[in-house]
Amino acid sequence: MKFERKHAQVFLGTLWIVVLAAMYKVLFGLGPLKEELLRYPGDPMRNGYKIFFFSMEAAAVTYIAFTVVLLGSAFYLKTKDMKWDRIASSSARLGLVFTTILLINGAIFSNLAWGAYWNWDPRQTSSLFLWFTLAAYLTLRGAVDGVETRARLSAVLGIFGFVGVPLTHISTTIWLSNHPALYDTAQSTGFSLDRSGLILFMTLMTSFLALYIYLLWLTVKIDSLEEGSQKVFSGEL
Amino acid sequence: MNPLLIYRIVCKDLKSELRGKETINFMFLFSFISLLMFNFAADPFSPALTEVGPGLLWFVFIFTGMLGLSRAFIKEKETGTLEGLLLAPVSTEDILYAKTFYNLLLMLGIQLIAFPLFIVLFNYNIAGSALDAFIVLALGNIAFVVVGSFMSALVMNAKSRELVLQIIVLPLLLPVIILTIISLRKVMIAGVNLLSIGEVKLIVFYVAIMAVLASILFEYIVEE
Amino acid sequence: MIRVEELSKRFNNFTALDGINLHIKSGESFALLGPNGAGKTTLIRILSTLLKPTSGRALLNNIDVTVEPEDAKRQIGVVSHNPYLYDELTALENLEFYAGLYESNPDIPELLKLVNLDSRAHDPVGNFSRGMKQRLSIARAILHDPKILLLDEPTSGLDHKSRNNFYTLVDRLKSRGKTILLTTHYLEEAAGLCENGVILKKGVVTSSVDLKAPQPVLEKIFEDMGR
Repeated sequence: MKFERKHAQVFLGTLWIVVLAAMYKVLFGLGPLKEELLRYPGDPMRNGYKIFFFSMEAAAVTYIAFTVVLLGSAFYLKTKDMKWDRIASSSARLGLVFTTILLINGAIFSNLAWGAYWNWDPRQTSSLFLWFTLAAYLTLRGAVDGVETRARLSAVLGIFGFVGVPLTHISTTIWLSNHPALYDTAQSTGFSLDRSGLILFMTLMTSFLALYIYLLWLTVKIDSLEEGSQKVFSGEL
Repeated sequence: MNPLLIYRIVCKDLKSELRGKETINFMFLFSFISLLMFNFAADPFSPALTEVGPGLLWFVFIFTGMLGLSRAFIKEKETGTLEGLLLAPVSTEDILYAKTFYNLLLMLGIQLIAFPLFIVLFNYNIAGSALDAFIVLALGNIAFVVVGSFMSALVMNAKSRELVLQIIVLPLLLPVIILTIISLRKVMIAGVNLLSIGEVKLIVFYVAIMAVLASILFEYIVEE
Repeated sequence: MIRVEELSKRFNNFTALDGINLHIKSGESFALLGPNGAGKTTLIRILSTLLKPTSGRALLNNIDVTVEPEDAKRQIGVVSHNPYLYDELTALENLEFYAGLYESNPDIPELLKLVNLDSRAHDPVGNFSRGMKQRLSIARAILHDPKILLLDEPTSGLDHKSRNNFYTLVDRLKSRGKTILLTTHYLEEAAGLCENGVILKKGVVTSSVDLKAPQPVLEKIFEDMGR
């Protein structure tokens, strides 16, 4: 069966209902943290821990998107099939969106947990540089004419960028251990999810992933249609 | 890898650079003037300048290098001589190695002038050995030219390539920027011996990874 | 000897060359003719190992350009619109540099005499005229004594006198037994330098041309080709 517009509408509609229901449940259904988990009376994490439901999901999708950029790039260089280039570039664009969501969520979390929107937490810092890497990748794509050259060069950069991220994480961790942070990031707010919390978490995670896969499919399709129409206009077909 | 061919390409680049002196003059003057400007970052006699000195010194090299190094490949591309090199029986990796090595020579040349200049202008008392600080800077510069030379080849075919280069290189260089500053601070402020700084080993590790990746992927940049 | 078998090159679904077959004997001078965008330069770039073909084979003196590119590079000298010279270096230094890359040891003063630049050996190439650069480019192309010369529109942008100087030089190389493959827009160039040729259109060989045919016949062929 071919996945067509009608199916896409049904899929997206169901996804929206699930996500909205889950969000409602997270915001109004889940209770505050237990008193013994609070670091001090009036700890903003009491209800603020719920941001975790969104930042974890965004982080997971971000890293999956980035891995898809790497795989698409490597497969493109191996096969020279434009399909892989479209997958890598679409995933980079989506990755940029999800990294932005992650950064905003991370900043809110950081403010609740440590009292500052930006705390130079290694995770925060490497996410920011992930964002820069994806932006650089897309900038390079915009600056190169010629479909194949663009695909080739950006694939090379995609692989470099992927290797750079763990190195960035290591170095920012070292940097922080040399310079004690303003707010101690080790002072974490541990909490475990009960059964209904876990179901909510998994539901949201699945929905985010499904959304990413759907959007990836959509952007790849738009890109290939665009390329086809350009060929028609330039008289190659 | 053919060291003789690499040597010949480096000699050719040095010879034509020393005739024209476009890049080297620019790089020297730029590093000089930015060192001078950075002095105004804090009261010249306050301890704050000691504190930020190593970082500022390193950034002088990053920015000087960024503006200067892009020329190595872009110039050959603009004049079309890169094709002449590719027509000769020279492996593409050797061209990359030659350019990287030539860039390193340029950076070390600048370092030889700018480092003493920094000590004079900042009135800087290095806590550890000056030679150690010089070596750390040189290591940082090696990491910088390995990534920078490769990426300047990558942007050869891009529009406004000098601008794109900066955006691509800085995020990739962040690890080595951080590690070099930490090591420099340890030598220059805390007076730690070079060999007992763990971050220095990490810089070497970074260089190794990037160099391997660059030699594997370079053929994809020049092929058509 | 140049042998091209079913050679194709596609750029992202645009077909630049579509199943080209050519056979050029040793010592032959052969012209590739055709309108702009016919695929002439693509073919030359594949033969000079700068481009990889999508399918098919190209052999230079029985060496496959994709299998053994470094050996193939030693078989050919390329002269194109761009002279591939360094402006800051002198004529002598340019030749010495390229000779070093080929790890060959040619008689450079003799080469400079051949291209009539011996008096300017120590001048930076940046001061040379286009015609002089193009002559020096020939010296650069033959300093490793290749058997095959690929000339890709070598005289475009040259004035009449420099062009004639260039032809005299190529004639001299022909008499040394070099195989020559020339692409050009000029009728007198193709007819003056080559015996045989083919016309390339949209990546396909459409017809072969006997370049020793009388002038009016050739003019007619060239006129039709432009359409």
